Amino acid sequence: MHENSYKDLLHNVEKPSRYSGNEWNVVKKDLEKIDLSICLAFPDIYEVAMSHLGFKILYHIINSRDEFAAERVNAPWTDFEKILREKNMPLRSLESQLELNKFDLVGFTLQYEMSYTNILNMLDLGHIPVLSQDRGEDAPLVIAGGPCAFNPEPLHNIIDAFVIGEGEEAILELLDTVKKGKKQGLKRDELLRELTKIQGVYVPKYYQGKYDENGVYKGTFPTDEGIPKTITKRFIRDMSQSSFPQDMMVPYMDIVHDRIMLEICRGCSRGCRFCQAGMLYRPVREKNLETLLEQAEKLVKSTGYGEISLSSLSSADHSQIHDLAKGLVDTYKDKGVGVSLPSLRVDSFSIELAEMVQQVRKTGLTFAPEAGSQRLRDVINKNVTEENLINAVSDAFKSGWNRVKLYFMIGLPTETYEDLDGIVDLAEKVVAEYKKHGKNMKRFSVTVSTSSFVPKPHTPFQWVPQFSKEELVNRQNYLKSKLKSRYINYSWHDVEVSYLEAIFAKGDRKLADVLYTAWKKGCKMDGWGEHFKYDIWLDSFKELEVNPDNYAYATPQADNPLPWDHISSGVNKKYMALEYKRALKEEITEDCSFGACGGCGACNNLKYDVKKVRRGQDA
Amino acid sequence: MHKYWLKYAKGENVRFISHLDLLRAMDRAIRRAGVPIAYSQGFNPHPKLSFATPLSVGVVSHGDYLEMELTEELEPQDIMETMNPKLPEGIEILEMEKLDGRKPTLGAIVAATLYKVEIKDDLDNQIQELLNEKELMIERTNKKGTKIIDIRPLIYNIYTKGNCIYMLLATSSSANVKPKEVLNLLSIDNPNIDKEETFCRDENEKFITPLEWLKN
Ligand code: SF4
Repeated sequence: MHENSYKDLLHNVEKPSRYSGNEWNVVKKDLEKIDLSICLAFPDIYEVAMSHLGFKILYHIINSRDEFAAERVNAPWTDFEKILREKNMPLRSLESQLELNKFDLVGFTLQYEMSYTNILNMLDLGHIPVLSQDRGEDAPLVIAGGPCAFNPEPLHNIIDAFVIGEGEEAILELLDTVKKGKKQGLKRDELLRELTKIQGVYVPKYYQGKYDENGVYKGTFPTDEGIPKTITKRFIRDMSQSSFPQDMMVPYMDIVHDRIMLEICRGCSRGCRFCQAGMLYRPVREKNLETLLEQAEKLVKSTGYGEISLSSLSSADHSQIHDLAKGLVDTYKDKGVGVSLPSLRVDSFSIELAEMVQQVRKTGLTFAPEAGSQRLRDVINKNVTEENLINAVSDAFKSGWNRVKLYFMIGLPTETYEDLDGIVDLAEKVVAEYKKHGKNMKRFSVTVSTSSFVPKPHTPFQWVPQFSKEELVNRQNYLKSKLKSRYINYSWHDVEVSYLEAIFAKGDRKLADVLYTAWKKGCKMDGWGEHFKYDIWLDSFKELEVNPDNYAYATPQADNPLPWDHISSGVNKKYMALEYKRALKEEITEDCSFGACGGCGACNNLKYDVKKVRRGQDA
Repeated sequence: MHKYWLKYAKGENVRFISHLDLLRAMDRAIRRAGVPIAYSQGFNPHPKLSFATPLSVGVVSHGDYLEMELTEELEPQDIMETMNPKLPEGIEILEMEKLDGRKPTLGAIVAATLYKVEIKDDLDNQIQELLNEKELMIERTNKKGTKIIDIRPLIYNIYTKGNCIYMLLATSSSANVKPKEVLNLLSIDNPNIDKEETFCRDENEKFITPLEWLKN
């Protein structure tokens, strides 16, 4: 019945296959014959959504259970949204073209703050009340998970329940609870209350912020007996045993990451102090070689992709990476299947690996020294030296690479103009190194790319104010004026976007109203430059008398309660405070899976032994 | 090298995928099926697959053709049987022939396409009037600018059957007319077009399908 409901609409939209589904390995179930349906919603366009591994993992895990159906929906691009609104047609899922409001649950993935307006917009387009409190008994339960769920407060009145931590651990338990609750005829409220019993599930309506007589925030606490005070993340103990779907969907259209994404580790133990993922996914876990080779084989067979990407936060850190890369290259080099490494360390070992996998094509290499001087790299605990970088590029040039991209952050805590000079200096040294090899300068280029530092919750830098927008622009201009070599290109990010990102990353419940107002006034697709409406955002803050500077430039003390203190990543707040102190003293902390345990608390809190990972067996 | 021509269909499910999407889908299905396709040389090897005519986004097709080169000789029937289960729902290989000896490329011999569109009203009179015209001048705009051309000689036939209109239109590298251009002249605004069959000509200028041409 729903089969063709979009058919006549799609002739006039850009890239209609964003909305037509039917990809290879898609799962279509008879929705009459299942107990519970969930629409997995990615608040960005199709190409971005389908490039996201976690989204696909959840989809297949849920669908592996006969009684559940998971379908997908993405944010429609503005042209299609216009048509839907004109015709008052609801947003539908890709699989059965079922209206969003007919699902039992809608589950959003929260990957970046700048997608929040799209969540409101998709709910509205799906004819689901945007605010939790307005949803009736028939409306779907709206849940959300992903890294941004670790500070859920700016979405507290939109999302009914958050899953904190690794979704594949909790999702089936959550669906089972909903299924059981529905059978028992539980009301929406009762069902939400049931969900609070699942570890890692946060139901914001059962919590409230406390303020003292001066209006100073004192923390967020449960409103009822029996509701947990702290919500600790869900976490996979054994990556090799965890379900990793092998019948991954293969889209038709060209998407951002159009290849097999073979996840080889989760987490990273290097301990960069700005990095939220590095803290949220502690302790690091890896899959063993045997499992990986087997998964790769099955994935190639089931998808037909011509490329396997070994994905993780720091792929070269896998303890068996050499054998893995070699094993895959040897198996597939004659079968038209290539291997790629998305994240390289700044060292010669990584070049050796890149050399091994990229036997023919020498595409550009990207390195992330993050900061220009050794002093600042010690502050952020990025254990990379100038020597590492020069050795790495030297090896790369020797092996035939001609293009290098260097990625830095500006506005890092304690950064001075001397540190910026360090960026210029490094880039020039890379140019000099290339010249030394006496190669054709015509084909050579170095791209220096900077983004502005955004302080993130659950990191040692959660207490750090962002540099002012004006100062960040000054620093970008400074680099522009200094990076003069004809071989160096410089690219940078909009400071307004980074400012808003910092505000929402560290936001509290007051921001929910700002978000709602900004969306009502037309903000959406904020991550897409051409749609980002900074003025409307500023108006919305003004209208609600919320001062955005109080978030981006806040300087809380170490013992002040933070709006996300009731959510735990397993890493102790004390440890983050200590790391912040060490940062200011320019002291480095060792990688805990190779060196000494830094005492972050994750292993203890989550009952795990990280050392076992590097011995090739999971805890 | 072993060349094959195959006839395939692009169904309702995949109506909105593009020409390049289809190419990618074929490439992946070939790899899933383990069919020994030949790859081009160079830094960025691509499978030796070429389409008779480009497929338009939004059009369903029941008779499109492509040429495929394998490194091993296999029976057409066997290739179809291994590949069809590995193709996404909606894409299907319908028929297949192996080439003997040297043959022109598929693209070089294609001459016409038969399209079908559902209509609501009786249009027989308008169609007759259209076919009676000596000239049908239309405007075409591309990147280079706007041109006025006469498409009457490129319309080989138009007729109705049931509640559908059928149009046999020129399709070749030198002369081409789009179904929408004719539909505009008839004031039909149904965007859902079906491609029924692709034709080339035999020595008597008769329209036959590429696979008939091969057997000829
Ligand atoms: S507890 Fe120690 S070993 Fe475990 S993740 Fe934290 S720092 Fe690393």
